[in-house]
Amino acid sequence: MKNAVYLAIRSLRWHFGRAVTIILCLALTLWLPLTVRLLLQQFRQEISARADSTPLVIGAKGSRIDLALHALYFEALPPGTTTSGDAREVQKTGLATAIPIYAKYRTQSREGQPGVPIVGTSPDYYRFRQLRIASGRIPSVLGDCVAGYNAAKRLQLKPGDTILSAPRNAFNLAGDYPLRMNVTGVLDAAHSPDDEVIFTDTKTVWIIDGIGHGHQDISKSSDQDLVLNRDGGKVTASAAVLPYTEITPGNLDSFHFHGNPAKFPLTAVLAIPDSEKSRVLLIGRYSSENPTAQCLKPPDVVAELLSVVFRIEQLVWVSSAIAVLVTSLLLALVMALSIRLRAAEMQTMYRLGCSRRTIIMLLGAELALMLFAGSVIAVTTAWISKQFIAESLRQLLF
Amino acid sequence: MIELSEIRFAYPADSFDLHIPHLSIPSGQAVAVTGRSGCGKTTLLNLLAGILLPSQGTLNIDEICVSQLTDAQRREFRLQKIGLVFQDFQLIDYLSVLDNVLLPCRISSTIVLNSKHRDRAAELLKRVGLSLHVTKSVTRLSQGERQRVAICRALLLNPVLLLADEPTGNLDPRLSNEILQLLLSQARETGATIVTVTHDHSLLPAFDRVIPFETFRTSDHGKAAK
Repeated sequence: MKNAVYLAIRSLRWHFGRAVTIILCLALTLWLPLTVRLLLQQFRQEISARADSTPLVIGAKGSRIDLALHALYFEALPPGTTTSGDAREVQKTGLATAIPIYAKYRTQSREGQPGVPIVGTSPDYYRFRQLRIASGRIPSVLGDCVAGYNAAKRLQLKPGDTILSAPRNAFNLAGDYPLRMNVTGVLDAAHSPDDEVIFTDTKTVWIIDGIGHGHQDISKSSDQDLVLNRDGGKVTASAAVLPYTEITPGNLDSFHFHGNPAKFPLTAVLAIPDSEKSRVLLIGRYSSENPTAQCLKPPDVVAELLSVVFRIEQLVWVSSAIAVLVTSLLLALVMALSIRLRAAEMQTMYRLGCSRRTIIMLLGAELALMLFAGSVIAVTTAWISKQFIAESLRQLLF
Repeated sequence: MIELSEIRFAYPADSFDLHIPHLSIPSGQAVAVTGRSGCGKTTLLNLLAGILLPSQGTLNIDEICVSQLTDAQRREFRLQKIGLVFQDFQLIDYLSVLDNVLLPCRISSTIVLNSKHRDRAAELLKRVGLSLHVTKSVTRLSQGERQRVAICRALLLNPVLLLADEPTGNLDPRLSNEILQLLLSQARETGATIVTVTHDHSLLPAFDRVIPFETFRTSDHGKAAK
């Protein structure tokens, strides 16, 4: 066997071009299904882990998948808005802790990087997701925010920096102004979608929403460009008075909200039941009583989604199996032609006293070496692909 | 001693028929077999090498009845007791000079390649003036050098019988003589019997004995070029 491997290596080195072509064909044929499998496996693990750790999601009726993915990943917008009243309802039942999620807006781009989602929530969220502060502190005042690990890295944010929310509509001159938020801290890496966003409280997001606002005292403004006319106590201000809204210790008290707080919008509510019984009761309550809201079990929704992914995976497997079959046939053809071209060499070996078994072993060793090399390349590139593509794929999917 | 007795051989679906009533070659003798193209000289070498099996008769080499050995036994016998030199050298292009010489050890299922074989190969290559080319690819050698490598390969395992099928057929006259002398001297040194098929009558004086193939009865010579 040792001699067969030695002769096979010599032969492959001699027929370098042919060997490399076959090895690359094999590697490519193996790489595709392997990479798909690895990526889907990782995708399955990630999405399942996040879903499994989220007991219940409550939100507007509509697409279950959209709502679940929004509550878990903050990316896709849910089918409709829910209200803070819904969160209070959950809390009032005493069956679960309600964590509001309001993730409708993004930050403005910064340092050439596109903006990230702004997630309004309550301090319970940090405890629930076990998010730890790497530097700074958790937001405590209106207008404060804390950056997820990757978001902070990308946008080059550190405690003490500020970041603007992206305006909802650039053409609405009378409309909402961006909110300049104070970055009070940066979270530790959680290796989850929480790394990709900026967290603040729901009230701050409602300010971005225009539900809440403050008032600027123009009469005390030192910037004369902002003041068009002063007539006694009446001051006429320029439209450019507020390029953005900023909540400072000076104007914090002026901020207030209009309307019924129970009607203030949220995009989802995470419900953390205190027991299995509470969980079942809560699900039952939503399945029978509430005409506008729904209660989801994220693992079930993700399982539905994964069943779709599984069907896609099967399709990929069938395609890969066909590709493997075609490659095998081509490989068999190449080997047959190669044996024909090397007939003289085989004949010499046979005439010298080599058995047919040894000749087959020699050819088998060549094939095995090429398969081995192709497999090593396929596994290595699949692993590298997994490292580089996994994140992009997740972002592409959500 | 090589002894052939009442050997008959015929190719299937062919009218070629070879009949050797008796042929005896003493050990260490250098024999040249001459004859027209297609008369069956190569068939004789193949019979002696055990590549072909006679349909009748007995073939003894060194008191071993080759015609009674099994396929596997004949292969090992050929590998260990017989050295083969071909007209077109039949070296393996992807192997170095040294590896070509060591090839019989690498393809044998019973011989384990060891340092003695390597030393023997190096010594043979030194003797034929190729000690500086051991790691070279055989494709980079001249025709004469390639045939020397083939001779070293044939002599590696100290064969009792050296069979050469027109070993100088592809070489110019000066080189032909040189290679033949080399072959004969190496065979004599190891005490091997040598049977060479040749068309070149100018080389015949170098042999101990010349056997004109016409002494054997064959039919349909023209179709016998297998």
